[in-house]
Amino acid sequence: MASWLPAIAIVLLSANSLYLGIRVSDEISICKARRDRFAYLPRDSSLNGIASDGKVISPAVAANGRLEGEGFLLLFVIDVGKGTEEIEYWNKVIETVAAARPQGGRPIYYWGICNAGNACNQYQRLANFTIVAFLDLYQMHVVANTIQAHGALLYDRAMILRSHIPSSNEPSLQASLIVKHLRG
Amino acid sequence: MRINWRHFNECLIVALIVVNVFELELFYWVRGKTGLYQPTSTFPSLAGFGSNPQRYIPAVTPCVLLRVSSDSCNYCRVDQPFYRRLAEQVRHAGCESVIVSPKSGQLNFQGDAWGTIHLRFVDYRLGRILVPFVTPQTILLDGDGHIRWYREGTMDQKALAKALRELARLHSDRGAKTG
Repeated sequence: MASWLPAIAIVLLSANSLYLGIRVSDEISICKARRDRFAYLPRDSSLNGIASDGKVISPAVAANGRLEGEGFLLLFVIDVGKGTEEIEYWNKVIETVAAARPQGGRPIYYWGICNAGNACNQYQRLANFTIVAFLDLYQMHVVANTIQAHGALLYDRAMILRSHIPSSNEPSLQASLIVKHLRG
Repeated sequence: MRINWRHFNECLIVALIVVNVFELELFYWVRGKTGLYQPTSTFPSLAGFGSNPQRYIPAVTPCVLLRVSSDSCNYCRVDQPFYRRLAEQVRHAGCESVIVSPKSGQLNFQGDAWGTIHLRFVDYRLGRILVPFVTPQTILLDGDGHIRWYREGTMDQKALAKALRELARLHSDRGAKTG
């Protein structure tokens, strides 16, 4: 074998290794930037959907473009697999929140987003909140990738995200968390 | 001690080959993580509400072309010739073509010759997987919801050729299955 062949092989392999190293480093930077970007929870909203009656639903908005009564909107997820248990849980939360707040205060609109399209519609008559079967892609993506179990997203009167409320299995504890975030 | 240069070079070449193979594997692994979707991602059935608004129940088709687009996205206009060509071929293959905008008011879609369905609202399962933050996106799914090909950003001639190749492969796979 010619003596210069190993030298050429070493040079070419080293150059290729360097090139691949640079490409891997670039890909890692892109991956990291994308993860940071998508981990960010958008504060704006796109609150349009289809309610359990099959009609388009949007929050009730006053002439100034804000939620009616300068209220709040709370979004949470209804797990259809838990059936009426889930509805009872949120009814209890809503009842406890109402009891803990002064009468005639700013209203809270509650939207329960079904995790299986139309499958939660049957529970609307039992629920003290609006069951939403479908949402804008933007809003549904945020809801589906942010809310864990009984957690919730609280939007203020300008429909800007105010808080991401953590999850609790106890309705009274969940209600107190919501009240705390309403005050904060 | 005297260095055996021949032996040293052989060892160095072997080591460099190992490093190159490792880097190549790492490159493809990281690249798989960089994309919006993993190659193993499976989409649920595209349940939602159309623009009427009317409930859209997807038909059983061998594939679905899914596009995320909006009127305010200039890049979505740039690649229209390529996307239309693909949509046309997809329809000829007996598949469905579905378009969805990130926000429901962002697309004034008047329909096209290939019967593309405009999905205004999506259900939880589709909303969970489909990323709304990048437009345009063009995704070719097989009948089981597996990603066969996808493109983030504008399509070009090369992307179209790749998508058409994948569509043809899908067609031949189906032919082999049905005998």
